[in-house]
Amino acid sequence: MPALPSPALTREEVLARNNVTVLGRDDAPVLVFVHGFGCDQGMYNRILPFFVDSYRVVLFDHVGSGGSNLSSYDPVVYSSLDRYSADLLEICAALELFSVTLVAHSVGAMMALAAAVERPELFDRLILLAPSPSYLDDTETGYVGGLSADDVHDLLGSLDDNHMAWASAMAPVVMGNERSPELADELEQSFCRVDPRVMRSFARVTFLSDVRGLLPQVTVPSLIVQCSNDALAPLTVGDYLSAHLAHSELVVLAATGHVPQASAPRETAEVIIRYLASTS
Amino acid sequence: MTEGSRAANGTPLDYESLFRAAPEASVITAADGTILDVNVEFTTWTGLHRAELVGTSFLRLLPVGDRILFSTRSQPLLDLTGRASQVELSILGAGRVPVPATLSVSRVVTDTSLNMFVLGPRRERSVEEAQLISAVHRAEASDTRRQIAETDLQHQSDHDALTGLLNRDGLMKALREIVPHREHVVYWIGLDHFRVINESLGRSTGDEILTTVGRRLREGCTGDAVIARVGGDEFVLTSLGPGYADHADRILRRIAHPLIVDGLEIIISASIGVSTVASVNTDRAHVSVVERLLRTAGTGMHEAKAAGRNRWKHSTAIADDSAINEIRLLGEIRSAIAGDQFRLEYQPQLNLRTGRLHGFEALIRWDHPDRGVIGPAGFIDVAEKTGLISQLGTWACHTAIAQATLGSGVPGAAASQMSVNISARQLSDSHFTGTIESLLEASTLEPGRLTLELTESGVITDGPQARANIQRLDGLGVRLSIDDFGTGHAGFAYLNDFPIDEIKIDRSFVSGVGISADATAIVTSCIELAHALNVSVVAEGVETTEQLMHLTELGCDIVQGFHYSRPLSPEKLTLWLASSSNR
Repeated sequence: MPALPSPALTREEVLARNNVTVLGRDDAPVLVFVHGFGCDQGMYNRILPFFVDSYRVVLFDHVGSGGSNLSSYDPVVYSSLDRYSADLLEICAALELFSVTLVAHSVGAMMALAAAVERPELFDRLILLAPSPSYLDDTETGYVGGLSADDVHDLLGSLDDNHMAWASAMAPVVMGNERSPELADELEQSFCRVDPRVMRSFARVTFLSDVRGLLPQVTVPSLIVQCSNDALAPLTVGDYLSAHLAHSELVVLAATGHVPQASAPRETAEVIIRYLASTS
Repeated sequence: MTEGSRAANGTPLDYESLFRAAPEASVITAADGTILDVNVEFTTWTGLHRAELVGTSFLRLLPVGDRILFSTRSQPLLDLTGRASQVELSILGAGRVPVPATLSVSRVVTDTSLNMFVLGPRRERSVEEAQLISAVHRAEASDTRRQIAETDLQHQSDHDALTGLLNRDGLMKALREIVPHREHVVYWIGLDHFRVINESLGRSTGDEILTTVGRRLREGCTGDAVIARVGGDEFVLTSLGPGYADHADRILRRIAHPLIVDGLEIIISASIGVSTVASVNTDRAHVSVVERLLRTAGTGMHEAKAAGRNRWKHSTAIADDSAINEIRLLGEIRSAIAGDQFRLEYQPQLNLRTGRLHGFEALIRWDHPDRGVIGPAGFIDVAEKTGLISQLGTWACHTAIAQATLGSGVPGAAASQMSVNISARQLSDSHFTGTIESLLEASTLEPGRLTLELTESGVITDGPQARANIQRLDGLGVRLSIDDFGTGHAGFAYLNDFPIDEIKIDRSFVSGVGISADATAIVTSCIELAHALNVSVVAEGVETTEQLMHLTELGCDIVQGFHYSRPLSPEKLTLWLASSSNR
């Protein structure tokens, strides 16, 4: 089913829906950061200082995450990538952005690929952090995504286990009460607030989506940034992307883990800056 | 040794022993998660040995679900804020048996960065928590059912059940989404003498031929082609690219390939109208370009048949004057409002439960000085693009409310409903509810007898103003109806979100009731869905007794259409009311 259009949302409504933040100079080249599963735009905090002086930096939260408008979240509408990539395009339209470089992490990279297929003329480049076109193994084609359907089921169980903790972390914010300081560190609390029900649905979108079919249609040049030991995307996934994305470059970081912009901000930023310089 | 390493009495503190004997299970890792040390409580609790742990990754201690969640959430939190707490997970203990645990971890920055993990047993899930989580699972299952139902309904309404190709509605939707291109080609394909085949060899043979032709068309096309079956024996194919002559020849050859049905060899042929676009100027002309391409191709198909069949005929669709037409029409609408050229007709609606009059839908008519009577389809779209729709809409509400009391003296009509169409633009106007309120105050019509027909797009726009208007109108007691239900792109979730009293099933579905399995299934689903939500159902465009009988059987509440009555002028309506009250 096509993504539900959101006709007649005003510019302000789109920006509020996705809690859009714009930093840096208005006349500078545009970087739009797309966050992945598990957190919100705060994921990029450690690499922002490398970019805000020279770029117009746009950050946002996917609907259902962070400071987005939770009332816009419908689990059926947001049950596939289409709506998320449509939101991304609506943000670009609301800010009248063009010649955009998308910096997209994890499932955000899937959204970026879909948006680039839909509106290639808007985007100059894609910078894909710890990306994967499909996290699931595909026995028919021999594609190794790294996870099985059982693994995703196991993840949903882990989400259930954390349901109460997240729900109670959300509660003071929703109710507008003072946060109880003894609950946890304030900094920790202010980052990556998640609604446990959205997490379950977003986990399915993340780990069950498959955009391998889109890759041949991507014409926008891309940089694939992989981590050397990512529990979610084996190195073969980077090779697969690089083989199937025209005009792509593959870089493997020394950094480990799945979120290099948080664990190795300097190395990640340097790779991005080098690519931006070499392609501008 | 630093000052902090001594107790208050000056004795050096042995942190390693303190760590090892600490009463909470603890693990120290490097920043990348490599285990550097574990304490006694940890090895005792998990049954693991220190020697086999040191040098391995902490992530290896976690089952796969917890590993994914830790990598995507706890680890970045730790990197960003220096800590992650109250994480519920399991540790794979001796024999890889999961040990439920609650984990907190802090980043300790010394010469290098270290992570200090503290783990404790996890408390049991309380009954309330278990109930909450099971409620979440039930809600998800219900969302999934809703999604499947909507997808099925959408698929049924967009596709031809026989060939699996798009149907006419599906084609129009697909074409609206593509941008007309200078090299866009539309092929309108009509099978030759198909009716004769159907009548002489039977419907099942005919169906098999249609299915085969559908498959052959699909196989002969690239991925970007749109293919639809738009009538009994007619197909439409659109594709990009030059060389339409070769393509049309190939289609003819493919269709003419012999096929065997029940041991009988059948050779069929087709006539094709091919249209290409002369120029594409603006986005504004998009819909009109697509429509002209289709119309030109359809005419071309008939010309090809007339010229002897088994051939194609190319024509060029000229599609660059629609913007000028629009501007001319806008000027005419403006002077028509000033010149009193608009009037309302009223179409009676029958309540199937009581067999009595339910109410009337007010329908706008334009007495155009040159072109005669024009229905709303001829001007509403253009008016909608400008503020004119608000003026027209207010005029229609004012007139309908004033005339609603026409039948008050007639038995059976005293409590009838008056339905008025409201555009998306009116609904998002902040003055709209106030206007309705003052119109009602100035009349004797009770608010509960006024039904406002909203469009799906007007409602799902979900702008704060539209939402506020809907709530306020509901508060006034006005009834709210969704017009052309099922024809838009929207899911049906909004029925739950808004105080909707009624839906109107579009005539395109009603016309197929009892004839097409698809249409019947769609109407049935709409009625069931509406009744489950306590919403009443109006079927529009009911023209035959058969349709009326089927709709009655399906539980439809109200019907409207030529079968009951045409739209009537106020004068004729008075006569109609008088005569029907005497019946």
